[in-house]
Amino acid sequence: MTIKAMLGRFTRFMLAVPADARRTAANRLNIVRLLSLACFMGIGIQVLLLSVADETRPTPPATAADIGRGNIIDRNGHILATDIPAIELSANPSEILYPVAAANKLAQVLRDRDATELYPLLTRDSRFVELAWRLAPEKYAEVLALGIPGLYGRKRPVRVYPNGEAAAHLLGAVDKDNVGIAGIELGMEEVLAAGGEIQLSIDINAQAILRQEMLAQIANYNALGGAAILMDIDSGEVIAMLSLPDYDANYFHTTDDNRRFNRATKGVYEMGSAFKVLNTAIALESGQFTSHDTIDVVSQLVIGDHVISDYHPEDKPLTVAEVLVVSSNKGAARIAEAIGGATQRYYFDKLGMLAALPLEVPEIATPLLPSLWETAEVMTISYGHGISVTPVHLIAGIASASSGLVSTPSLLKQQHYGDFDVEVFSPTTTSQVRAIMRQVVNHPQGTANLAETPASRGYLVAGKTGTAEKITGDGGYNRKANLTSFVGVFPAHAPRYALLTMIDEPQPQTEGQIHISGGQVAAPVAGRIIQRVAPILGVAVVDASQPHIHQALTVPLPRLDEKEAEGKTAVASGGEANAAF
Amino acid sequence: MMLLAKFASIRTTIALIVLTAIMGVGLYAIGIAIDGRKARLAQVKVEINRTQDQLDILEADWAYLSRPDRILYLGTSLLGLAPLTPQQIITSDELHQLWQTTSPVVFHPPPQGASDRVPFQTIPTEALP
Repeated sequence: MTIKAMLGRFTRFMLAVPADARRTAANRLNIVRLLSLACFMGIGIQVLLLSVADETRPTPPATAADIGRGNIIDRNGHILATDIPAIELSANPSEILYPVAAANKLAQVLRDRDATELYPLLTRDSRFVELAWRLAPEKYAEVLALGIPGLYGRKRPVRVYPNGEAAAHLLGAVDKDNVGIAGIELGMEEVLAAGGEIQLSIDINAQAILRQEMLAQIANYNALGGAAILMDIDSGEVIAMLSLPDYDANYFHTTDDNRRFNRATKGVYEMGSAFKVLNTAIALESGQFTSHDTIDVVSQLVIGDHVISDYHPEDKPLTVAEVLVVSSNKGAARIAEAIGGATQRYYFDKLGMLAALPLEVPEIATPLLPSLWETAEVMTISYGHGISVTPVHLIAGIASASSGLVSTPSLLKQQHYGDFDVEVFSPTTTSQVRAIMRQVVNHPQGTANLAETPASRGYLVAGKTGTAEKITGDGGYNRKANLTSFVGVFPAHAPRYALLTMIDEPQPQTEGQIHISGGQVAAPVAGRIIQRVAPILGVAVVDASQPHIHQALTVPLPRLDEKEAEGKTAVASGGEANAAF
Repeated sequence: MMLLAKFASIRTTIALIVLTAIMGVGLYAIGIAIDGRKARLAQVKVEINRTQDQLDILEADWAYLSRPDRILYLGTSLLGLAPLTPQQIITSDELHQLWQTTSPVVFHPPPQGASDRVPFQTIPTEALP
């Protein structure tokens, strides 16, 4: 049947239909036509809009894998930790036709694995074996050039620490999946995993200087290790922090626990005489003592079955200031006894000495406090025994004692200052404490003369040494194993930075030398660090003879001046008190 | 009803068929263009990724090469530089004071006849890393 015949039949059929029904049918047909046209136009316009307005479409949110881990940078923007691309090489053994040849060829390229190691992997009854997890892209190209079927590469980021050892303890490490497992990498995991950048308060140049000087001194004295911290007193920012022995941060996984251990934040130690600074500050702040009150350091001091003695016994009473300058245990203990345990504990609490500090790394420690806080404990704590704190606790405490405000150390660069304006000590107290600490360094009879090098004289270092005998396994003290330290602030008249150096078990350099002290070991290295670091930090040299500075840093030391005049050198430079029991 | 009747005319039908055909061709052309752009986009994305990877490597490399101990070693051993001593640094106030003072003379001109050229220290090539 032709089309013409079909149309003819249709026309005849339509004419046979009544006019009303025909019109209805035509209308319905038109409605259907209109509707389908509208639909078609709608789809067409939508397609047009989608293709033209491509840019305005919201992009799908990036997943964690796309973002990559954020960098860690220092306070000046130097990269401390970053991701670089690498290839994870795997094989599907079932696809490898000639495993012996493949193992031999691969061994030549991979180098760190030989053919006897690779062959069992390539013949394993499995669909996936990992051959290398961080292959440089060039190496991967070499592998591909071997033309072995069944090898697969997957791009994955690898964390690198370009500075190697510097700040390794602070940076920490990530696991194979780039998830933080130590240090800032763990402490700031949430931000870093989301691609955020972390800016530390650390200055990598200052960090390198601290490391270089500390390594040299530890080698000089054949010591076990050490720690050093440089802190901004106003903001609490840690400018440099070091624990030795250290390790290359890129090799965290193959480093032993001793090297991984962060002595600055997690090691708790009886820090010794540096605590006398806190004792003096509390004594002056409590109003019970002035810096020129005399203290009996001559008569014997016995508490229970312990005798508290001085390394260099005095034959005349000393003032409160002199007790700190010559570091007398007896003097400090007598002052603490008068202050009382409640007051001591109150201030220690305010200074944050009784709890773990809120640092941004997980490697922090809670101080070891005495179970009883009675007269004997009050006395020993005054000179830094019977209480174990981390070096960060101590430097924060000394920073507070010299500025008057609570210093909360932080490893992140602070965006705003003045968050820590909680006053612990009045300006009167702190100016006196600083003047006395300055005399510890400056007075010929002081214990920390070596903390100032001829070149660093203008930085007006004020500080205190510490020499603590280490606790032995049976709870006693080992006279031959000392923990030597120096804590100081500079410049003394308006302190901006605090520095702590600690050297663990220095060995005598010369035959016959028995006692080795913080003044001999920790103070000189602090002096050399300050000399190199202060210009970087923008601290200017000041003329100490200017009247207002001279006056601010002068404290009468009658007995010591008298001794000096007598030419006595009973307190040799570096002479230091030690634990009596 | 009149409007609907008009639509029913054969002319309208032809016009609509033509319009549909034009739109069909147009949409097909757009589709082809989109495919082309998608391919270009993918290519650009690959380039961006590759460049980003290179940037990451170069940044890490730069951080490694500019690490302080290396700069210190290069500066001291090859350039003969030494760390600044505190006495070498003066504040802008002090500079101003020095500028104002007439005596003592801060800068001494070299004596007459003296060579004004200071020979540079030469570095043996084998010392270069």
